[in-house]
Amino acid sequence: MAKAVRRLLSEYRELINNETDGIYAGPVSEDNFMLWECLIAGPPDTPFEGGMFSATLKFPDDYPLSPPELKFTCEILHPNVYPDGTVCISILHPPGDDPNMYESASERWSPIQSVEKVLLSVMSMLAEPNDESGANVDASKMFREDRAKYESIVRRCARKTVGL
Amino acid sequence: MDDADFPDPTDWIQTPVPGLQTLETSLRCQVCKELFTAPKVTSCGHTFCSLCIRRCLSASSKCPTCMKPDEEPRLRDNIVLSELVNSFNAIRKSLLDTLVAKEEARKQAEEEEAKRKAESKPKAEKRSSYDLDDDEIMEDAEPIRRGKRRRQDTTTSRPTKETEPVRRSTRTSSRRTNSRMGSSQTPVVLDSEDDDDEFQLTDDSSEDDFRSATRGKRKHPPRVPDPRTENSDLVDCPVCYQLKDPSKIEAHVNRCIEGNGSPPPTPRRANGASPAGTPLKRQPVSFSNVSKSQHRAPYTAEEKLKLRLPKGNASLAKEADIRKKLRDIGIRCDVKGKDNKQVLWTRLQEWTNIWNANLDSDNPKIKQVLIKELEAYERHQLAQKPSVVQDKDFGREAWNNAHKPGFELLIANAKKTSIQRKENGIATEAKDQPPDPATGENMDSNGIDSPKSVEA
Repeated sequence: MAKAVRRLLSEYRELINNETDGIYAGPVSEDNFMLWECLIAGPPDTPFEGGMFSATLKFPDDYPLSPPELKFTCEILHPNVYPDGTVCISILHPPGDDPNMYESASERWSPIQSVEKVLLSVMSMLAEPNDESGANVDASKMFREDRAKYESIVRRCARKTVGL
Repeated sequence: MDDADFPDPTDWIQTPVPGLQTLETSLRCQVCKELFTAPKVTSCGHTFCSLCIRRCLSASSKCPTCMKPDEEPRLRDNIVLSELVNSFNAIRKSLLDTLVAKEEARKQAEEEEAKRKAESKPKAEKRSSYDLDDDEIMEDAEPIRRGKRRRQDTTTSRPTKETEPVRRSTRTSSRRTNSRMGSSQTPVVLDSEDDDDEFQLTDDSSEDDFRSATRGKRKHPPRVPDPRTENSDLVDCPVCYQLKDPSKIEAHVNRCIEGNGSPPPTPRRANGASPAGTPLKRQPVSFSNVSKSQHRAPYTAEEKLKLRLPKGNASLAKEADIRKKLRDIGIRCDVKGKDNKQVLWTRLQEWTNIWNANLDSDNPKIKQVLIKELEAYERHQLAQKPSVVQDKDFGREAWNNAHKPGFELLIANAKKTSIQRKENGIATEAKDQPPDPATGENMDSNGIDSPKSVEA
């Protein structure tokens, strides 16, 4: 079996057996282990609370040498999420490639990171947006200048994710 | 996927000793999540499988855990860990079976007890003292149900009982281990200088004890200080990859380039085949030696098989050289696609990783098997590449059909412009590259599909 698949299988089993609150992830189908679907719960005490945000994780062939790509498939407004849903956080950037020129090497992707750590980072990203490196400029601006509007839109998105 | 063919640390959660999960996790490589194979420790102290860390370092020269810069020649064997992994792997299955069976027995006993209670309430009250003692009930229930397992139990539990007294360092125990050693193994003559360093602070009896114990347990000969670890000021020779004194490196490189540099030191634990019990001689580090004996007999075929390959440098290597190297090894050089040199270079790097990691392992495979592995690895990498859009639901046909009018319009426009140009008399200039504007426009608009596939 290919190395990447074995490693993903191992991570999957660990996720099933040691459940982390607010994180659910697994391969979309048995025959393609390189594409996962995941659900991330909105962190409590934030406007995202109560939402279940769905996303896809796409793993490269040389995983874990290269990081996976995380993309939200639901509507979400966040300074660090591109309008098309792609997440921009340091843990998903390979060291050496620094699009924003401010991340330290220790926060970047490394082969010892895992799906669980990535999803936990995304959860904390939801709780604490980094408006200095705006992937979504409009959201960054709104977050900085009109927090009330930002929060109301986010709450609406969160409610939408659970079908309300 | 069956549990049996995919062992995992989470197997231990269901046993009475869930703490074994942490133990097994730390016996696994953080990169591939498998039990360590030929563990190597980096200069920052982290451990990975030989192949994993070599691949990581060739991708980015950093330790995956702490991101400190590191390089392949600085990797060291982690001998005690590889012994630990081997012994753990040997007992894993039986240990797991035993523990799972025990847990099952305990659960069944609990159920039966509950049933018994429900059936005869007055009796259960009398037996209340039993209820507290789960273990005793389990012991009762076990032999009836599984005689076979009981035997396993005793075999796994006995050694722990026996080793306990040995651990205390009394004179009797040391004598016992000594005599045991004397009969089973030839005594090892340690380098006296090293001994003094190691055992200076211990008193006589414990020294004896310790030495005999370590001698007994070690599969590998005692480690001889490696000039590489001792002296981190040394620099790599870019040609032969030997570590050299910075002041002498220039002269050494010159000699190397002329083709008569001193040979690289033979790997210390090549194939793990150094005869057990005989300590390896320290490699002389004196540099005067090098200049005196510049000419060394060429490597025999057998020696060549135990040599680690150097990594080389991508920008210095020429495509022809890479091809020659691959051909010499017996790897095919055919390349599909444009960037020939890059593909061949990656192939050579991967081969170097596989080859060197194989030399680190306890039971190395033969070259033909390695070549097959390399091919399989590459095939897997390529197999997933061809589709431009990787999304599973992406239907190329449907997408082409949906955008057909757009494509046709663009092609028509492109044709029109080229005809117009011809008519305007610029035809002579545009003749050389008439399809250019067409491709340009098409690529801009769809970005994914080439216009040719649409036309066809």
